[in-house]
Amino acid sequence: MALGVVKDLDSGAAGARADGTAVDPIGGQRPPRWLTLRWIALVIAVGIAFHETLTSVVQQSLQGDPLAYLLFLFPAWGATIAIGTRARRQPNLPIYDRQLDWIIAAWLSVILLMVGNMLLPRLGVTEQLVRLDVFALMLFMMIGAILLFGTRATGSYWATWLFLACTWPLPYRLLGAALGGTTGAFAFINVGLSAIALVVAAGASVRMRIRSAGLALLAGGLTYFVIRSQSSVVVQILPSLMGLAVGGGDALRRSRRARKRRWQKRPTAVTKPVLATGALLAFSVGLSLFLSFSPATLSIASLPSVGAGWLTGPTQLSSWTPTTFSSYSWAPQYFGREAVWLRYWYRSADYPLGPALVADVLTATTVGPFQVYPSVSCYRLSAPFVQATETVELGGGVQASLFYANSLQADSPIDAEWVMLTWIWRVPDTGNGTFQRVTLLSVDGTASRLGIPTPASPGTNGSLRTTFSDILQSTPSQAIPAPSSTAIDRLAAAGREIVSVQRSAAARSKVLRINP
Amino acid sequence: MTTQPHPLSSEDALAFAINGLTDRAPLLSAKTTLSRGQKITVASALTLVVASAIAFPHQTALGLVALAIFLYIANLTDRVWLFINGVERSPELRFTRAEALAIPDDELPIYTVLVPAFNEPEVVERLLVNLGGLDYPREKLDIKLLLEADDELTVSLAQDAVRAGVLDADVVLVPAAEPRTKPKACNYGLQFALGEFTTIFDAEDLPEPLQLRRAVLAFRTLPSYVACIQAKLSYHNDSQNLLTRWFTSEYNQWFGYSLPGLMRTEAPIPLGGTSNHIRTDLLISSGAWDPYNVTEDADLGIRLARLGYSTAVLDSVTLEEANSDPINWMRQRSRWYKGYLQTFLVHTRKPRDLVKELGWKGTLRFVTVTAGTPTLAMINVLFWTMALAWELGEPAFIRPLFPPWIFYPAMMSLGFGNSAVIYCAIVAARLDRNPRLLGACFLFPAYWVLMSLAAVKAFVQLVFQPSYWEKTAHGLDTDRDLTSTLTNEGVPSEQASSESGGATNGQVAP
Repeated sequence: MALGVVKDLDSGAAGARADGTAVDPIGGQRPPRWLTLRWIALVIAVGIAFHETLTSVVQQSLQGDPLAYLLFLFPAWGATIAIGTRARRQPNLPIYDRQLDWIIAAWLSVILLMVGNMLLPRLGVTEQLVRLDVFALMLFMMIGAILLFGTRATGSYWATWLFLACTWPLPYRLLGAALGGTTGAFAFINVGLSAIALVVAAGASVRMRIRSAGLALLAGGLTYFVIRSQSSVVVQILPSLMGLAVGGGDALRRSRRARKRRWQKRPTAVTKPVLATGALLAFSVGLSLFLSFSPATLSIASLPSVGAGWLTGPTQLSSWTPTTFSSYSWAPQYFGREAVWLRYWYRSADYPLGPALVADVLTATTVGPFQVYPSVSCYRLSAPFVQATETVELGGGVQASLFYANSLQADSPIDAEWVMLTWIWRVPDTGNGTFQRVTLLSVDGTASRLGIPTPASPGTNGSLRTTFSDILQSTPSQAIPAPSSTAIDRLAAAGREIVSVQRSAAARSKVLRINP
Repeated sequence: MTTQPHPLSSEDALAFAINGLTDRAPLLSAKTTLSRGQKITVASALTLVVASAIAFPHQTALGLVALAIFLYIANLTDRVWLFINGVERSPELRFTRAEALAIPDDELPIYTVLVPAFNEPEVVERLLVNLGGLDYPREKLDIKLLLEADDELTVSLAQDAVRAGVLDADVVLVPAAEPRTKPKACNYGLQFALGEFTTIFDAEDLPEPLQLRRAVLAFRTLPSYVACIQAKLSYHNDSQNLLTRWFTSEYNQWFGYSLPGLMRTEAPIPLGGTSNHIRTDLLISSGAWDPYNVTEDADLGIRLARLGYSTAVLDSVTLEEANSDPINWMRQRSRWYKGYLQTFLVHTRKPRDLVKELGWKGTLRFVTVTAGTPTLAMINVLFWTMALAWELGEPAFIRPLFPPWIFYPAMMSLGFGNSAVIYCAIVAARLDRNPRLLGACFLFPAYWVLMSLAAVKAFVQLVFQPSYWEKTAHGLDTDRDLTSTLTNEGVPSEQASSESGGATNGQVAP
């Protein structure tokens, strides 16, 4: 393409724009100014608008969640691809339009506000799995980039945006869980993503791409074997960074063109984005004041610490007799290496042919995955679920969430209805290191075990099913009938008794510790 | 053609170029966006809507949504109806190569070709290549290269080429003055025109070699009330990228089927930007182009129709360069939309006169094309945002806006209407024997997003910069050898095949 024949054609504007910015002359040779300040402004704006998201990512990383990659690797991958793109691509066409920049940014801002105002509040149980706030953060960054650098400059890095969009937490987590959910699995994914980033970024020749990716895999793998006994965050992050550094450094060294262009200033349409910077910062302040994108993060300190937990067997209940139990081997894949899922079946003497009660007890050493894979994502549900708006008080500070089948979907609301009560607590005798999610399930009106949802690995299918169910379920035009009060009362009574038994056990344990 | 002395002074020519139409018929000029009557009407309408929205918010919103849906359906129905009418192709004027060449050279009239350019130094070379292919006696070609006097680089290159004898054209220097628009330059050059007929080509245009002869033949065949012959425009770089495919598909539909459809239904035809051939005397007497209207061609077509003249569509193609850059495209499209809106406002200043001159059908079609197209493109943004909002959170205010009597027509418009538009594009691609465009047809909704953004920009500019000319960058596809797109007859291969199949007398040129 012969760029020489293309002119800046804002002829009537005489180079001046309403917002004080100017249009580049022919060929766009005017050097951009204040690029560093623009980047600083963008980072500050993101920090203001999404400080809750960033804080929650730090908190969850400390709770054992593999989200630390968002803090360390996300920017590194983005920068790598951006540098590669910049080194390779031809100069931008000097055709700019600030009016379009503002129109596009305004439209994207409306979409961002709709996501924050409408979609995020609808996400109930899957908000931690989906992490739409990260997606919103990227959308906000794109709006900022359009305002500060222009649509063309922003769009020319489309590969960077696409790569980052593909690595947001939902697909990242699903892939990690599919590979075993261990620290090693996530480290492997991170190294692999670094290699892919280098394939996208490095040079035009296939050979250079393969070489960079191979070096990244090699360096990442070696680093992993050296540090694999370190803390999980270090093991997940460092090999990937090392791979990026080695593979990227080699690509940069070998690419004469990249070296030559490394410090070459690129023209940009926006030479003095004073108004745009002000608007972006004001928007970020407005977002931080009036809109919260970040999902609620479970605080360990706020978890009730009730008793000895279910570590030694089923809790004995007065009106329910434990009959049998089963365990599920997939639990460590999603909830940590030491996670155990046990299902206890109870039968009531009052209802010899009546409904059964099951207690699913998930014990793990980290609490983060409980939020990512909520109870409803771990069952084969017979019908779409509904979460009750109010929690059920079980005593001792324990508040349980109530879920039930969307009865509108069932032929007979009574027969097909299942009810679920679930809560999380900390097992005190093990210090801060053991957590349990207890889920009580029952059916109403049938004695069949088949009516009770069966535990199933969240997996890709389960997680996506739950996510889509959560996102797409419409607001019903008629109220969904709540399950019969008998079923809720039965579960609540059992739940209260469990809490009570645990509290007594804790008291006995305390006495034993004092008087051994 | 050498420069010839002309009795007109530069000042007089400039005065006519800028104020010719405004002085003669101020109400037909877009110098003022809204006339006094229109200002009162718009203010009253806005006041009424705001007052109604305050007093009866639900009913007002319902009314506006219903109106929008009605406009959608009317516009879509009209589009499909025009397309069906145009598919028959009967109204198009067709002349074979033999018929075009049968006119002896000494019977051909002098033909003026205006080529406006600004900041386009490469235009000189392109002119040589592109207009050099016209099969018309050189001594009867009055080519005027219209350059802004302060565009020093282009002017000096052109003058050098003329001095060297490689460019056979008059270089007309348009004095630097506002508005800096193409129609102003054309008006200026028109006053020095020597030809019986006048046409406009952009510098990058590649007209079919026999186009001028065919136009002469058409003028001789048609009655005198046909003032203008519009040749078809198409693009040579349709395979450059997805955007050029969309653009080509849209253009082929418009020039190949919708314009003939308009012609067949005797509706006013908004002219295309170039390759419109007009009787020079009528052009001058009608006020020529409006320098304040950024789609002066469309405006001229409507004005001619109001004056009782008609426009015919000629089956001869001028190849242009499709805009291959999205930002450049949106700038161009926003200018077109703004110009359509200017045209609508100019011609509705005296609605009763308009109806009297165009008739009810013609007026409705004029409104549909000039006001409906940009307005609906802009409203699309609103409805898409509402649809997204519904998907994201089902906000309570949306459901009451779509009671069944609005919802079902809206769904018809969404499903059937949009499918019909895509289907028409597919049919057009099939009829034009251009399978390269088929894939792009299915992706048209993404193209509509670009259109909508351009429409928003157009409305903003109509308020703040009504006569600002958003010039389009050309030359983004200079790698391509244009001669490869032509057959030995000098017409695009697609046209050649259809022409040979549809020649009126069955003759096919050797």
